Order: sequence, then structure tokens, then C-alpha cells
Amino acid sequence: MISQEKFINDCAAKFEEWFNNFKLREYDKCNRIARTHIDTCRIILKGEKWNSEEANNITYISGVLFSGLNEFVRIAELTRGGTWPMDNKRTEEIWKLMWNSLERFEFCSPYFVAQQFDSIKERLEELREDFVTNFGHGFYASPEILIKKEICSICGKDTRACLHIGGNLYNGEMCYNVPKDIQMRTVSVVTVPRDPRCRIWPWNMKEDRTFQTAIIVLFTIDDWLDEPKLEHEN
Amino acid sequence: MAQFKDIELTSILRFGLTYDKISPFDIICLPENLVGVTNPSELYDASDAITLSKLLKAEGVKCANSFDLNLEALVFERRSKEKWFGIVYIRNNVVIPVFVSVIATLIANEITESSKSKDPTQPVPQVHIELKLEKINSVTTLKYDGDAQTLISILKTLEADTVSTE
Repeated sequence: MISQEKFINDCAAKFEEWFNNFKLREYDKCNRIARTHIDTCRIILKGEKWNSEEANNITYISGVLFSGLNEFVRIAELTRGGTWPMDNKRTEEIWKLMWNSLERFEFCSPYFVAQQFDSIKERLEELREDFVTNFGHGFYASPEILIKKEICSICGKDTRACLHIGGNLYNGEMCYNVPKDIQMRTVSVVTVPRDPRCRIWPWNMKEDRTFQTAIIVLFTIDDWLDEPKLEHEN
Repeated sequence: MAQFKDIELTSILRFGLTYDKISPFDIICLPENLVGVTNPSELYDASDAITLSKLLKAEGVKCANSFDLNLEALVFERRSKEKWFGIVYIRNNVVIPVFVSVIATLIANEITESSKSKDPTQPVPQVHIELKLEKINSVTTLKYDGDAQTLISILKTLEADTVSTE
């Protein structure tokens, strides 16, 4: 396994290398850098891990960061030419990618400071404003869920019985509240959603005023920890 | 025998709780629908209330949630940006500064988002909480459904009152 010191020093260097290639629009190189780094993070966290909680947390954070950068490259490709608002499917894809990367970068922001990173986040904010200009603030599906039992992903106890906080990192592992036995009560249409990916797009509205939209998106900022699917599995 | 000083809190007696059971705690995060239901299997905690109770415990506050009180409450998760804290019963004024600081941390994102919003017509995420403050011979109830910034101002006033009373 790569040494802990080398890996941590490499994180910043890899980011700079990624950014320099991004400026040159060398998107394939960017993707290669990001994928290699994500693979290394996955191997470390799924394997023996470091002996230091801090090093494991840094590994997790850099995995999240490079996963967001991968999505940012995809956004750059999809928005090239500026005609994307005319293409409904592409608009939906960019919207989801934008929120995925915003969520990942928001998580990384307290830990990773770099001027180049700020410029990436600013670009995403500009894109968010482009969406408001083109499509307004929007309406979203927001379900209410009753959960019979909720388990802490770190210790397996009832979430009320431990002190692990959902959304916090523990030795390179994110704490999630895992619902068991859920019952959906209602789905509301709201303007301030928890998950903006559940947006109701006007083109998905039928003449009889019914519409199709996602009500829950199973997105987590550490989805890169799952083994990548082979081409034929996609 | 000690008794509940709030007519609504007496409703928890239906669920097997006594004043003596809750007396070791300074803050109790109660199921949101405690007053309205008769069947204990219908009780539910707001998901944000669970996080609130854990953060208070982590800060060293003697805090109880439904699990600590042996109430088998469900968890009610609203997938909206709003924050729901259910009923928070503060039995000791000394812990109010810690409570205000923890709540402020939990709703910090909502405050940032409101201040960042460039469009005044765009609604800001709301915060919902029912605070019950135990006084010498009574319980004061503050039911709040509004923006995060105003709640913090109200809680700061509450905190200042506590300090001046001390």
C-alpha cells in the first residue's frame, strides 16, 4: 500500500495537475487523474485503512472531492456551446450533476482550501443562476416518511441510543441514519426542498396535470466507495 | 408527589412516564405529536430532534430523548429543507446558553442560505419548534414556526434573560 505521507502529499499535487489539465480542456486527462485517485482512496478505505483516524478522514474527503471534480468535468462537457437549456434531457442531467457536485464540494469546503477550488465552486454557483434565469426557482417533490426503526451505520444501534451524528466522519466512514421498515405518508410539492434533484420539470407535466418526477434519490457523497460497474453492467 | 406544571405535559402520563422519571434531566426532547395522540404506537420523533438531543448530550447536557424514556416512538422524516425539532422541554435555565449554541449550529445552513438569497420573493427554509420552559410555578410555552434568523434572535433574548435572572 502507498505510504500515508506520500498519499496525503499527493492529494494536493493531484488536484493541481487536474486543474491545470481542466484549464487546457484536457477532459480525458482530468477524468483519468480523478478516477485513479478515487480508486486509490477506495482501496485504502475498503482495505486495511491507515492507523490514523485523521489520515482515513483525509482519504475519504479527497475521494469525495475527486468524485465531484469528475462530475464537474461532465458538466463542462454538457454545457459546452451554451445551447443546453434547449435540450430537456441534457438540462435534467446537468441539474443532477450540478447538485451532486455542489453537495460533494460543500462537504469538502471546510477541509480543503485552494483558490482554484473556489473558482470551481463559483462556476457552479453561476450555473445555478443560469438555471434560475432559464427555468425559475422550480417546484419539487418532497415526501414525508415514517420510519419504524432507524439504525446508526457506525455502531448499529438505534439512532437515539448512540452519540454518532449523521453526516459526521468517523475514521474514514460517514455516519448515516439507516431507515428500517419505512412507510411513505404523503408527497408534497414544495419550493424549498431538501433534495433539489426531485425537481418537477415542466416538460414532464402531462395535459391532465399529472407529472412524473423522482420523489427520493438514493444519492450519497461516497457512492464512489462502491466498486465501479463494468461496462456491460451499465 | 411531584407533578407536571404544564397541562399539556400531563398527557405524557398516558405513556407511562412520571415526573420522577424525567427529573434527572435538564432538557427533554419529546415526540412531536405527544399532545395529540392517545395510542403510544403513534408517537413519533422529528428526525432533527434526534440530532438535537445527541448534540446536547455531546455538549455534556443531561438530555433525554424518547429512547431514554422508553417510549417506542417512530421517526418522522420530512424530506424538506425545513427543520423540525418537536417539543423541547427545558427544565433547568442553566443549560439555555448551550441549547442556544447547539440550535444555532444546527440551523446555520438555513441562515446562510437566507442571507445568500438574491431574490426576496423566494421563500426561506422555516424552523419549527415548541419550547417549554420550566419556571418556579409554571411552564412557559413558545411555539415557533418561522425563519432561522428570527428564532436565533428570540433565543438570544431568552439567554440574556436567563443570565440577568441569575
